[in-house]
Amino acid sequence: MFTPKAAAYFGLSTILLALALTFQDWQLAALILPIASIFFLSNLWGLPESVRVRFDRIVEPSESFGEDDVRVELRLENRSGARLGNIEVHDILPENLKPDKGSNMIHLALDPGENEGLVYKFPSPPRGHTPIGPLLVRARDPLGLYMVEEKLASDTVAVLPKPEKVRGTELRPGHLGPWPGTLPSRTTGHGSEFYSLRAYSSGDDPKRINWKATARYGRLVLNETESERVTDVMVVLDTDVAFYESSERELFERGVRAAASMASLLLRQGNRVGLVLQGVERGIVRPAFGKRQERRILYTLAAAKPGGSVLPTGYVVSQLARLLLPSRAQVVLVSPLLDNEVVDGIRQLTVDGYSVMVVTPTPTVPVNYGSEGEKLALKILMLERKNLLLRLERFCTLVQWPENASLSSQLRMAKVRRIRPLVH
Amino acid sequence: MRSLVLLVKLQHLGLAPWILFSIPSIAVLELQVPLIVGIATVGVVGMVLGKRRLVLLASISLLTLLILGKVTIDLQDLETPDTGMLVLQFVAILFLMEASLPVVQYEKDLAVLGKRNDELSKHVATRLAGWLRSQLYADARLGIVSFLTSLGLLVVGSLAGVGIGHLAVLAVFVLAAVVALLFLLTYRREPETTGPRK
Repeated sequence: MFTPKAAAYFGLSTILLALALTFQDWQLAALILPIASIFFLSNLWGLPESVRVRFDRIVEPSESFGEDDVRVELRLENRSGARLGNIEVHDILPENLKPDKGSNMIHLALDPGENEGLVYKFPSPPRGHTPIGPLLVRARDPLGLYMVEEKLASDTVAVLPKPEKVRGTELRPGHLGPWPGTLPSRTTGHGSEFYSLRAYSSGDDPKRINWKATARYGRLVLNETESERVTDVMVVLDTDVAFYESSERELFERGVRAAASMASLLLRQGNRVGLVLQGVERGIVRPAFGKRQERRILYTLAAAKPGGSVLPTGYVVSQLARLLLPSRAQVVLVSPLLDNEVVDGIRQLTVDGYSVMVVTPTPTVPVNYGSEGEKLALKILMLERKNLLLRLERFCTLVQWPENASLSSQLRMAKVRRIRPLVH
Repeated sequence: MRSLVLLVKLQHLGLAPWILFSIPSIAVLELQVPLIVGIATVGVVGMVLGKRRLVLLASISLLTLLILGKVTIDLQDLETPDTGMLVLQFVAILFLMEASLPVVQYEKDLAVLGKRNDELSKHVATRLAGWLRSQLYADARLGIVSFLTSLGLLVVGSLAGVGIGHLAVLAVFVLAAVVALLFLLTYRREPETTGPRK
């Protein structure tokens, strides 16, 4: 296509022609000749009849925990059969990304059949989905009168939230799946925890004989263990962190890390885990097992952004739990608990027989305040939150996670509620 | 290569006096010297700071003044300049302006690389230098051939001796020029190939 520069030259020719006719001055008309020559010669020596440039982009790593630099390789090949002397390559990056090695924008000339690999690197972006591209490749004639542009769609670099190393957590859901796992099922079977004694019967494994009890009772007595199974868990991340501007980001990131850590731990233990992202950015990952599911959950969590949702968290959680989980399964809600409405939703879940664990990153109170009013407002907010925690503690397991503590230790300290279903 | 880039960078120091002293002083209200200083300063500052708009402003001002000078000559019935010299000045302004654009772009791209010393940045710098060389060579070739073609056509035109003042001939000339320009603009152009590839 013609560029604006070609239009400008055409306009100049028109002006010269108009002046030449007005003043009947052939010298002015003669100035059109160089412009016409430029167009002709640009056609002759410029772009070939068909511009064919094959190009591709390789991004490594496309998913990471933000520890490694991102390497982008742009591969170009001139398949036009003629030299392309004026090629512009621009891989568009978000403003916060600046390559520290190589460049994402370059002008170059390519001989026929020449291959070029342009590499640039930049430090890993923060958690999230970062678009790389689109890649624009523009071939022009030397003066830039004609241009052929091709575009390559953007790729995404996903920087996933890094799960914390959490040793274990005690869950007591009513529903257990048939597969072996780590949750005590209150029935005998294969497991590691002692459950009861029973008389030996033929065919039993002699290794399980309890010799002390055998001596006491005068007959062979066997140790029985509690079978351990898996359950279905839905991890819900509440992204409404409207608290105090300077602390919001940290509070939110702690919530994302908590959700990632819980999902990762529960999947490692063999449970079927799903995720609900509740807030301005919404997302659902249906419950499933395994490594791939962990990747899916972390990928969804990478897209999480702070901000409240139109629908109240309590309502969404209670509705989705019924839709995605078997009855009496486990719900893990990660929320800063800054909204009172969440209590009703959780209460409803426990009434329906679900076991609920609430992991709440504790907001860090700022050292300095903008005004006395702000200080007072924050104090009231924290008191309300404390009240909310007391109410929640009565019917669900509550894990508070302050800024400087490890999530693992907080989970170990949490008191597990052995809940009998509440009645309306 | 460096000397060529330097020549392009300092082009307005030479072009401004050459153009302004060749046009009648009445066309610029006897303000030749201030205009020379102004245009040369804008052009050189634009080149040094890599401001494409300033460079274009200086070059387009020179182009405008050249045409204004010729119009003034027509209006005032002054002595007409040599046609070859007029075309040479016109071509010189155009092609030095065109040459300045890749130089500005080259310096801008190099500035993005900064003082990085890694292999990837060095490779980019090498490719950029190759591109600039190729661009300046292509511009020079286009400029020279275009000037010679124009002169050739002028000689052929003067041999034909057409009465340019004649209205019918003038109309045919305009029509032919339009047809020729349209042909030149569209000849060997492929259809547009735009849009996403994947």
